[in-house]
Order: sequence, then structure tokens, then C-alpha cells
Amino acid sequence: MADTSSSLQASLAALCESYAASLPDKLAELAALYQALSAGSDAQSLPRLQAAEHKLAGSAGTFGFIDLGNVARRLEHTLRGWVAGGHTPDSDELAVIEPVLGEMFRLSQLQQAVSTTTHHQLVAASAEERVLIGIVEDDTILAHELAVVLTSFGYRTQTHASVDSACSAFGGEHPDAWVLDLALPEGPLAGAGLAMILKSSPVPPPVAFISARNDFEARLAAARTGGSGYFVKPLDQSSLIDWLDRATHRREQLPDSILIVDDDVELASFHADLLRSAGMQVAIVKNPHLVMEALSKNTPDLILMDLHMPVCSGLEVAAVIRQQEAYLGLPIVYLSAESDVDQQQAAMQVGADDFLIKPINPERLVASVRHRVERARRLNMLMSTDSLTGLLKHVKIKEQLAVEMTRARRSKTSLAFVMFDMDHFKRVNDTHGHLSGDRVIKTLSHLLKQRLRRSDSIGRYGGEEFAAILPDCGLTAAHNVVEDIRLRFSELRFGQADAGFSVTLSAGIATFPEIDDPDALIIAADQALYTAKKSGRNCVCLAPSSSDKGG
Amino acid sequence: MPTLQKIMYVEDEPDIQAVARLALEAVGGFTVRICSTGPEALSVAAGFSPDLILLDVMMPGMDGPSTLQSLRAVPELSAIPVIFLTAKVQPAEIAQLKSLGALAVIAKPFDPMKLSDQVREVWSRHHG
Repeated sequence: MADTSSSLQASLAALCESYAASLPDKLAELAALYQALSAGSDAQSLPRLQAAEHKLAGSAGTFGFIDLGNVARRLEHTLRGWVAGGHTPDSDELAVIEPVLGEMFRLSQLQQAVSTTTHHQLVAASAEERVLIGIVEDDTILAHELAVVLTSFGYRTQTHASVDSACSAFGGEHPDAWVLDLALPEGPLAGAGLAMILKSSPVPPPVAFISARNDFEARLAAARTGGSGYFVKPLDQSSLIDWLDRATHRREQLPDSILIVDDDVELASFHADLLRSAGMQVAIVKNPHLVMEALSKNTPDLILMDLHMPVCSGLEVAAVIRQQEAYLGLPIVYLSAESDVDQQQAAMQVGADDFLIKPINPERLVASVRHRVERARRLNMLMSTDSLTGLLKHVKIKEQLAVEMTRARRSKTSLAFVMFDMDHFKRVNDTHGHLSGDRVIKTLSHLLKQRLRRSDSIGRYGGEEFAAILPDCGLTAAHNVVEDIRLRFSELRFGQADAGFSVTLSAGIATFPEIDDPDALIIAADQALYTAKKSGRNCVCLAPSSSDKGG
Repeated sequence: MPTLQKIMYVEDEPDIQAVARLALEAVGGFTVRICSTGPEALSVAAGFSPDLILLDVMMPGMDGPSTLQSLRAVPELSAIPVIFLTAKVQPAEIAQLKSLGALAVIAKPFDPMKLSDQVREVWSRHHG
């Protein structure tokens, strides 16, 4: 066995060596592409340079050139922005590339032992959201506090104490957003200067300021640099996290999903291709009878329907869909050769949202669909979410559980339902006031959003009670993640440093297929939560599976 | 859970092909077939009948997503699970890739000593 392992190491070492030997050629190719790009002689040199950087970003790390790969990735990101935007870089922008290429030559000399690579490769749902935040703050205690809080909310942090130190780190990984103190060792408004530098990069990162000053002059200096966040000390951490979440698009939506109902398959596929090329997900139903089945499989963001179909009219299909409360908010857009206003009126009456006349210009189709989806999402969000936390309301989470359970049953996967309840929450309200109580609730909702996957559903179940649905998640995995949330929550400090307090939570977990009914699953999780409360709180309990309950 | 034995890896870069073969054969103990292009994968897949296909996203000519689409269009290949490998790791891109019907997205650069474990983890999560 030792033999196999050592021969393996030897082959790996040989591969790494041959990769290292090929690097000078690869870098020379990059340099040549850069020359061509600067000379403006070849329109293809920009996409070629991007493709070459992309390759390097994907391969260098495997062979022990981790830093080289990271720099290549950063440069590729910039180039990709230019390619995608059809942007022709000017000489100033091109000048930025040259030192980066120089840095890559230097890094190509630095090969690390491959077996020591420890970065996170599997892009699991939770890891993909590990956004990097740059903190520039000369008050080391505050900087440390911020780093701890951001980490507990799932961010990675990079801390600097001055403009100078922040600038000297530009060669490394680029933070996705920055939090700057307005006053830094370099001057009372030095943070604004740093923001200016940051904002001048090809892909300007979002910048927020923290400051002891709340006067107009300070705010103006911050606003002029394009900094979109301004937080006055003492910091309300929850608002800062709110801002970061929005700024870094962690609440990014999944692609728009569209259902096309049309008996003309050719036309349907043509429309589907148009929408797909705009990044949407599209399913086609040819037979109106199958619409309900398609809806139950995967609720789309919008239905695009032909008005005239042989079996039944689009109006009738819309009426059937609208009979079901769950689909009341689902936008229906008709496509028809019909330009008759009366027909359109009739369509609107049964709950159509828009009427597009065939043949439609491709851009207009994409734009109409996108606007409808956006608006519907915003409205649905308002209707179904709790105003304090932005989480699903009680009723919605129950509805969602039924949907997810059906899906789990069909795909033969597991599902976990979790109930959380804060311990002695009344005391928080009584001792620290309702505002503090609200802040604790918001904080827990943030924590849940960040520690759980985007595919998980989270709801505010009652006052201080929360519920979460974790699809495709077994008992052990659910327990691990909930235990982690419990621990992190208990470590958070609320209020001012001197009068700070912490809060704990208890949780109960029940899983499908062990329990095969939505209501029973909720009851079981609730009972497990009760058990957790009885066994001293600040802990996580599992529901006994239904088979254990006996007859 | 069905056993995972035969893996097809579609990747245009010779450096990565070599290290992936090592990572999957010597470290992972899998039977591996490497293809350099999407069309090659399409012509080889039926004969090799892999349990799983690893697809590089960015390839010249036919890229990973179109290769996946073409695989899905062939009835006997349409059910073979696919994992994407990519140096793009923006959340939106991952969501987009997953929405095409891939089991998972593995970020490049991968660690040759751990690639097989990652693949197994995805496999057992899929069949778990």
C-alpha cells in the first residue's frame, strides 16, 4: 500500500513538474495577447485573453500555483466584464493589466506542495455564499468585533488598519464589498479617499462607511465617493448586515422560470429559446390538460399562454388555474394573433395580466416577461412575508411544507422540518425593551437565512418561534446544521458592550420519510422542541421517527 | 445506492486531463474515460456507458452546457447524471448551471487528492 501511495505521489509530482515547465509558454501567450490587445490590432484578442486567464484560473491551483490561479481569476473577472459589456478598454484601463501580468510571472515561480491545498472546492450551497468583506478600521477592538459578527453571519473578512495597508493588499483576493471607517490614520476623511480608489476599479465594489460623525459634511463626503451605506457609531450590526446582504446580492434570485402553454410546438420552442437565451428557465406544455400537473411539479414565475388552442381556450385554462388560491398571484400572459380589443378584455377579466400580439419582437417578449416576473415576485414577497423579518408567514410555511413534501416523495429524497424557539424571550422584552427584542428577532432571522441554503424555506412561525424546511436533508445533516445555528446564535452579543446580553434558542427536528404527513411532521417537530425546552433549553432535540412510536 | 464505477471526464486541457485521470483512477479507483471535446463525448458515451459524466463548462466549440443538452437529447444517455467543473464560482452562475440539470458544480482548481471524494459525496447525496 505504501508503494501505491508513493508511486501516486511520484506521478502527481511529475505532472506538477510538467505543468510548471509549461507555464513560461502559457504566460508568454498571455503577454502576446496583451500586446495584441494594446495594439488594437485584433478584435479577438480580448476574448482570447479572457479565455486564457479563465483556463489558468481553473488549472493553476490544481498543480500547486494557488496564488497564480487567484490572480488569474481576478483578472479574468475584469476581462469578462469588458467582454460581456462590449467594452473597448482605453489605454488607462489596459495599463492596469500590465502589472498584473508581471505579478503572474513572479507567482509562476512559486509552486506549493499540492497535498497541502486546503481551500474549499466543493461548491455546496452553504459554501458558495462565503462572500469576502474588506474591513478598514483603525480601532482594533471594533475591527475585531466586526470581523467576529460578520463571520458568524457567513461572511469571510479581511481586516486593515489604514488606507495604506488596504492598498498594499490589492494584489490579493478582491473583497466583494468594503466597510470603511471614514476617519483613518491618514486623515479625518481618509476613508472617503480610499472609497474613491476602490470605486475606480473596473468592477467597483459596494462601499459602506462607519463613522462617529452624523453631520452633513461627513455624509456628503461619503456620498460623493459613491458609498451607498453610512452607519453611525455605535453600530447597529443588524442594519449593517442588512446592507451587506443587499449589496453583495446574497439574496440573489434563482433564474426566472417560465411555463409556456401552446399547442404549436415549433412556436413554443422558438419562444422558449428566446427566453432561455435571456437566462430564464423554460418548460413547455403542449396539451392544456397537463397544465395542472406541470404546475404541481414546479411552480413557474409566469405562464405564457396561447389564446387559441384546439382542446380548450386559453381563457378557460386561466379560469381553471385561478380557481386555486395558491396560483392567484401567478402572472398569466397571453400570446395571440388576436388584436380584437373585446377578446383582450375578456382575457383580462378571467385574470390575465398582459396580452402580447403575435408575431412579437424578441426583445419585447423578453422585456415584457421579465417585468411581469419582477413585479409579481415583489408583490408575492410582500403578501407572503413577515414585515419585521422578511421571512415567510405562518400560513405560507405550512403551504410550502406540503409542496416540498410532495416533491420529496416524488424524488424519493428526505426532508427535515425544524422548529426554533428563543429561550426566555419575554425576559429580553421586559428587561431591554421591545426594540431590543425586535433586533434579536431580526438577528436570528438573518442568521437562519445565512446558515441555511437558498433552497431551504424559512418562516416566522409565531412571536419568537421560527420554522425551516430543509429539502433533501436527512436527520444527521439537519442536526449538524441546526446545532451550528444554536451555537452561533448563543455566541452573539446584543446591545451595548457594557450592558450587553446574549440569548439562546431551543430547536426540534422531525424528518420525512420517517414521518409521512405534513401536519404530523409539524406536530413531531413541535414535540421535539418541547422536549428540548424541558431538558434545560439551549439544545436541539430530534423527534422519534414514526416507526419508533409503535402501533 | 447504485455503485459508481465508470466515470467519463470531458475536458479540453491536456494538463487537467492527466491530473484528473490520476485523481480518479489512482486515487479514486474508478474506471475513467477522458474525452477532449463535447462531440467526442457524444460519440463515445453510448459505448462506454458511464455511471457519471464530469463536464468542463468552458470548452472551445461545444461548451459544457451544450454538451449536456446534446447528451440529454439522446434517449439512452439522457439519464446519466452530470457534474459540471468550472473556474466560475459566482453564486448566480452556479445556480444557472445547476438549473440546467447538473447534480452539482465542482469548483476548479480541484485538489487531485480530494476530487474523488468530492465526486463520491455528490453521488451519495444524489442517491441518499
